[in-house]
Amino acid sequence: MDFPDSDHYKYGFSVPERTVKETGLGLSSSVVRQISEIKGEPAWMLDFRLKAYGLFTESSQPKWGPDLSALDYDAITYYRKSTEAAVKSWDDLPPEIRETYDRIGVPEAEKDFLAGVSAQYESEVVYESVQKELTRQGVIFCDMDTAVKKYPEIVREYFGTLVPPSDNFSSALNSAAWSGGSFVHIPKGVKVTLPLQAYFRINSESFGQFERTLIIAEEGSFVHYLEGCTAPIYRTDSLHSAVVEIFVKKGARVRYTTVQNWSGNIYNLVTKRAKAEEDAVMEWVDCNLGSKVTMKYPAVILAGRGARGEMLSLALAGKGQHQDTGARMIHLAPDTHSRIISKSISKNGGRSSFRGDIRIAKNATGCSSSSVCDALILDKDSRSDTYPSLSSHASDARLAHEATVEKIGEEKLFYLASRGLSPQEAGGLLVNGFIEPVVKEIPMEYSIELNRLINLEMEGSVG
Amino acid sequence: MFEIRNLTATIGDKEILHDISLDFESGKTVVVLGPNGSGKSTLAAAIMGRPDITLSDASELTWNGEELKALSADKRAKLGMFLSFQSPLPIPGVSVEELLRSALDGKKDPVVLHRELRTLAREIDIAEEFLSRSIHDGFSGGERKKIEAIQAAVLAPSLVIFDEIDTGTDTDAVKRIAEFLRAHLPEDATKIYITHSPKLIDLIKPDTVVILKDGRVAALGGHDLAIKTVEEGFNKIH
Repeated sequence: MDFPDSDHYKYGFSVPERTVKETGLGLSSSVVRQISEIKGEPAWMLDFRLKAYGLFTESSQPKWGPDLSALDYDAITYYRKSTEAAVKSWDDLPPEIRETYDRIGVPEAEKDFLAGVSAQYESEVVYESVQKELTRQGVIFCDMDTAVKKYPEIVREYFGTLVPPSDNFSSALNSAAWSGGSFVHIPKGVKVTLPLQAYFRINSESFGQFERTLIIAEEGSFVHYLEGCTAPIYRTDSLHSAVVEIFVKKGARVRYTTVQNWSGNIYNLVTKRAKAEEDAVMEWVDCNLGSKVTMKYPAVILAGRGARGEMLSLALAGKGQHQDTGARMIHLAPDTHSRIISKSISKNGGRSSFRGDIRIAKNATGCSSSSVCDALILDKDSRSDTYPSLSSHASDARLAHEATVEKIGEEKLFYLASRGLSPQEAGGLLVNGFIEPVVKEIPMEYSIELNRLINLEMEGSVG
Repeated sequence: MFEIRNLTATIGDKEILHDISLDFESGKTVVVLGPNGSGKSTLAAAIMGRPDITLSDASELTWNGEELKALSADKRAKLGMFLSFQSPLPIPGVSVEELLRSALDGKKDPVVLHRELRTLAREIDIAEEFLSRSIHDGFSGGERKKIEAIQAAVLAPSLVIFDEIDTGTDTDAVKRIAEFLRAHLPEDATKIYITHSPKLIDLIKPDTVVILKDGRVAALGGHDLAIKTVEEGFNKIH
């Protein structure tokens, strides 16, 4: 079953485009100037964009990894504004935008769980509700465009320093054309108890979404940031190129959870990087279910003594999909520890690749890192690869790497059948069991949806 | 009434069972004995409908007049058949409670099931944690068998086959499992026990004993036949 094109793709609806301003097809320095002008940005940001654009024009796509040859940068609209200004309440939203969010259940989720919603519609944040408690605690949670205007000193200090435009072709492109995304600043010692959530959607054909997220967690603070993505179906290829930068200060902890279900025509190229200082903890929980191609290798730079980095990764590659994901743990300081757990499922000719990159610097003594990469392959047409890379310049590092490849066995299916489970039900149960170590880490509302999506995916995949 | 007629079963190109015909009446307890490799487990799996077992055209399996051969294992289970596995494989991330929730498919309230499982666990003497851990993952032989027995009790099948429910368990556990099953299986269920254990045979007091040898029915009898066979070995039977 080709999930994104099937009737089962519940979230594959779209509403009429309500475009106020857009830049037309393709990217040029004049388009970059236009974007900056529409946003009324300060000169330093325009300068940043133009330099990034220069780097993008000189950059080339990686020689390794998935096939990106069908990606046509000139067939994409780089900026499209969907509403004039951010609004304060759901009632103020244009009806078709509300309808989109109603169908993915944002208000429902908000009632029950949310500390604050930042719902991105096309490239502009249209809705924000930041609860009073956050304001009282001094937490800043706003869209990135607002942050550039309201908090220029903080933004300038951190923006583009962890993932510079020169990092890779996608980060250069994002830096030139970025729009929207979230800015989060947690003051010293503040612990945000409920997850901060943002919903991102792409809702225009051939429209690239280039959000940019910056999170700064000051000393001893804690935040769980959550992004969930579902997107409507379109016929031509779309691009999502994002950059996420996270600064975790001394003794702080940040968890960043992504549950992503882009429709099957989207190139999803994301650069995510965090820097963990002394005794800080950074946790990535990354679930990639959709897209045509995903390239994403979240990194933690363990820069302070005693810092910890964790990556829990889940990828589902179906027909015509290539999930090329991974994790990077860079141990620069002594006594730093990292852990990677990756679960991938390949089916109907899908391909999943996992690239684990562990590096331990010369002076980083007393470090440890463990990786477990489990792959489940549902049929003979599908493929899974693990590319572990371990390099240690410290003699006492403890490194462990384990990789397993499993096929859904006839014996287990028969066992479940003898209990009355159909092949689809049995397959769904086995796959949900396989991914359980990752799924148990994500909030209930997402894990239920994830289990349900897996069950839908299993139809016609097993038996 | 469950009837097997001219059952000839092949796995790959190897014929394992040859022309077996047996009747199983409702409410009766049947013991299947036989040396290793005599086809006992294959018989159990063939009755349940394991997909890699091929039956000859002449083979017939009927249950209360219904032809089973065309039905897949899950459909047979839905009709009320149940197979307790000799060495069930672990299923990571799936607990027996989750498995039973799926198997019951909404027919029992999850809260009721949750309570029932805890009561059953106490009765069969297994720690509650085994209900929520990954099923059979790191379980001892005895723990596996108890979890299999609990599933049989919850699903209340009308035809149930226990493939060596006693192996890997100590004497006390065998007794406990036998008493548990007597208390919880429906009275009119047909119970088929594949076993080597005189202890278990004493406990369940079979109505019928089937001796399998080399994939054929070598002898049929009552409880006495079981005792005699266990005492004298299979070589005396021709």
